[in-house]
Amino acid sequence: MDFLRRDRTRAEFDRFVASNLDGLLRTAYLITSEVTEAEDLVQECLLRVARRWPKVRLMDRPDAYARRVLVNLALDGARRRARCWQELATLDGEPPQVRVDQDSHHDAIGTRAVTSELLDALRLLPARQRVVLVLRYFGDFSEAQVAETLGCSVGTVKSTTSRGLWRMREALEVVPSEGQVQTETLGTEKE
Amino acid sequence: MNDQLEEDLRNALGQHAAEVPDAVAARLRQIDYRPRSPRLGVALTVGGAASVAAAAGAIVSVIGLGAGTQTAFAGWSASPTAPASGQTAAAEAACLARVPSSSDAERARDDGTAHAPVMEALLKIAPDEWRTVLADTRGSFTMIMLEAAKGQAQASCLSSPSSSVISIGPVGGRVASPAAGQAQVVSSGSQRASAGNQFTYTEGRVGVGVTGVSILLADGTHVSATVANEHFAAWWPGSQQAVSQEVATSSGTSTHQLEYAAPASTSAVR
Repeated sequence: MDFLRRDRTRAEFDRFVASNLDGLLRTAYLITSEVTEAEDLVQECLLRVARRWPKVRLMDRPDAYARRVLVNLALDGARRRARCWQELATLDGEPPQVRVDQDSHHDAIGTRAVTSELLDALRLLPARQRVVLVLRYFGDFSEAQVAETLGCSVGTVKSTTSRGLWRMREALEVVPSEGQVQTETLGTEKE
Repeated sequence: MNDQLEEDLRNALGQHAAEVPDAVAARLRQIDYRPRSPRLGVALTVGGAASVAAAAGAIVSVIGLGAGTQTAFAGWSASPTAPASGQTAAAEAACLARVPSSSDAERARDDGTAHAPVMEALLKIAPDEWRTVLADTRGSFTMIMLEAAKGQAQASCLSSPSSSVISIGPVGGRVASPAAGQAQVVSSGSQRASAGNQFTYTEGRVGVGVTGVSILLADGTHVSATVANEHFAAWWPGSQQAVSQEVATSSGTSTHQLEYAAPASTSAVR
């Protein structure tokens, strides 16, 4: 009878994947900005969910559990990358600098330019702020749902959202004088 | 002000999310994730021998997971092994193929991603400027260390017959050789292999006269590094950290503790 139970489990898990894969993949992509990294994250996430499926399937919201796994994996990855780039920066003598191209903001008549500019500003946020904004404004999750996903309080979600939006607005509005380049040190994951 | 920004951000994220190629989702759907089946609960409701059996089953499951993880690195050994015919050449080719290309750098620059400057630095290195300084073989796994001709960058790859992962760094200048008889850790850390399994590595430079480097892990395992061309490298499955390393010279061996509190810095050991 084991094989029957196994088949039922697989069918059930396949349905879960079918319902949630697109959302997880797109969320991962928006957080990481890299398709290959997003693919790796989602694969690892689903492997972990599959390993705990007997318990996950009984949860009220298996999708919320999967989202939590995905976000934790993404934040772990961001921390690893931050260490890596900090190492590069130190060995390089000078911290590498990121150029924020402000020009598109001022000739941004088209939607495409606005979109690109917003996404650039989003990518420069610390990983946790980026995750919160993606969950809030792409996933349309409530502050309580985001808090549950990140394992923090609603107040923390509110303040992180507020700080993230403030930093984005600052990046979008500050116009450097001619020839001046706005820079940011790499690997800043602290909030 | 925020209302407009929030609305714009919502629209931008929606548009950007739609750019994920369908092929990626299709690939992910085809994977067999092998979900675990729920165990029958009957044994949990009875006592005595049945409870012991249930507990034993749980332990077997845990061991099974561990063994499954090890399977990803089956054949790994704590000491380097001789490569099979063509194994090193195949790993070198796989590694070179993963060194960032001009299109990677252009995409990083266009996307404004944080590592664009590093990618651009790598771009200045022509493909034929990379040379292999070390090949570490453990069973069917090969770690390749590449160094740019002028020493301005290093790359390491861990390859198996089915996949390879790469880490780049450091970039920005040659790391000075340590003094005679010394070894210096240049890079170390844990990485996730493509199958989701973790491995940990340590690599660096050795001074003149060093004949061997052995790494002691937190669980007591000794891992012998490969030493070649003034470099050394070792890796092991899992995330056990190295706690010390033993450096061998013609005049004997010495053991030194390693500190991992500041991964950005290099640490020298005699």
